Amino acid sequence: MDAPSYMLTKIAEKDDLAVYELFFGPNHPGMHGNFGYVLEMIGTEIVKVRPNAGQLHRGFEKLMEQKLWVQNIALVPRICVVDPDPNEVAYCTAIEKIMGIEIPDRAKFIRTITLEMSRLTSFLMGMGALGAALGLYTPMYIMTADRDLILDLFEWLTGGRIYHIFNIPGGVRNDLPEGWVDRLNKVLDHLEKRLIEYDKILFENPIVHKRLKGLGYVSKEDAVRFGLTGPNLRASGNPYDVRVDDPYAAYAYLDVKVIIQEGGDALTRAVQVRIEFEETIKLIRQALKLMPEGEVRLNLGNLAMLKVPKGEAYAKVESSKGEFGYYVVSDGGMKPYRVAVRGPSLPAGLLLAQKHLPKMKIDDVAAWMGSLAICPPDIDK
Amino acid sequence: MALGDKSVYSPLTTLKNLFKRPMTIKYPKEILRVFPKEGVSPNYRGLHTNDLEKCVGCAACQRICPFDAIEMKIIGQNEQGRAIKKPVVDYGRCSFCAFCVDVCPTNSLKMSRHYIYKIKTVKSLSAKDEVEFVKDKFRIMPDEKLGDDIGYNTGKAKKVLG
Repeated sequence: MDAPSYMLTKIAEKDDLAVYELFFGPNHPGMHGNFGYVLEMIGTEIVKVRPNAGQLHRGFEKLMEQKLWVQNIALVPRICVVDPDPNEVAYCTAIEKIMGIEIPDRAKFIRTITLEMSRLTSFLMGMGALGAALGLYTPMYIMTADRDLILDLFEWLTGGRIYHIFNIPGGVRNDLPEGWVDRLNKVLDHLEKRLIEYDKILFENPIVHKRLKGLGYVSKEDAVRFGLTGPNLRASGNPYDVRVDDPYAAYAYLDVKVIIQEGGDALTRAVQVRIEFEETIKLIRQALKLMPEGEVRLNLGNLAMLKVPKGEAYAKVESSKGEFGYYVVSDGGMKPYRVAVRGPSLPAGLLLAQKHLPKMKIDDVAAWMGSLAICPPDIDK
Repeated sequence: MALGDKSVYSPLTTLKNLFKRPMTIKYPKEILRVFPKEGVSPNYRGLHTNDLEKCVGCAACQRICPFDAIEMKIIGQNEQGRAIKKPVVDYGRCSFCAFCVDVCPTNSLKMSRHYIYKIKTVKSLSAKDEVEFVKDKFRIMPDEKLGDDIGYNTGKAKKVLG
């Protein structure tokens, strides 16, 4: 019979060579990308942690200074693969702020709908990955299949499944195709029906409750102090949502419900995502109902020759993981002078890890990462 | 979302999947029927197609390309002795963003709904030579071979850039 893990730890503590180093990632199946933690371990318990970032570094911010304003739109979605639209919208909104232009109402609504669809795909991927981190593979398969239905809609609208490259300064690239809205409504109906199944296999599953309850507790004050945003912040009881507090796109016209939960542990965060998933579906329906007719972009002339006047702006967008911010500085030329990106995963992935991971069991690291929706590309931008 | 009591019949729920169509599709035999057109979406950004008679070789596509994937190749001379240039796309670099299609002034450059491109590598080549061999094979001058199945394109009336 195997000895319980705490016994192994106790035996190991007496040994001089007890502390060993373990690389959790980049090639660990529980890791979400090219990122890793170097863990110092005794037995199965973590003693010390060192985030091992930099393996996905592609120099986005520096690269953006060498490309035309419009060329960067093909680059920014790569900062977050599962939720690419917030990057495009934040970058374009920052440019529009500097130029002092307002895009047509229909473009605002189309942006809102694509943002919310992108949020759905990201939530499905996140919930599925959380299930897989706990050894429950069925939710992952089901959610990946459902996510594909939304990707089909993206393919129909934009021509690409993952990197949509759909928003441009002044609006969006094209209008909604004929029959697209009907198909979207069908997919939303399907997802709503599926929620019952998600609850059965994941959120009401005793394994999930036992593993996630009390894991990675973040207090109300800590969530603010560490700079958590999005569902992670709201799951700790802080009522903050960029969509409500500083509306962009068409959120000012919509009734966005901010969901807050007290709890702050991994289970609360998982349930938070589940509730926000349902709200997102309602929000898309709301936007479809209110969407006006009209133009989808402003005519800014040849965008390849676009010159943005001298100035600076910060635009923020509420993504599925938290606040994505783009600080753009222009010197009046054809290329940005400086672009700085604020990613939502950085505070949790680098700072909170050093508080939470010590004294945690190795088995819980993947679940902890899944619950905080840590996305490594935006740490290494 | 509290823990509920499970029904005795809950294991049987898996049986309903016996009568459902599988989510996966057989590649490349089975055709997708999601969109109004069979196959990929009508707006798909696939391999390029170029109407070489309409193309004036203005190199607008080369200038807009974010990843430097397009270069202009001289294919001959016209009556005035000027070089005739046509775009060559390096699919090793192309990200299929379709900005080149948006910017084309004559609307000759379009994207097709084809996405399969295959080459045969020569097994006798050394590793170093194979890299060079493959590199060349990925540089293609788009023509009208794939023109039967147009995907993403911007008509003159709804030009996106410029």
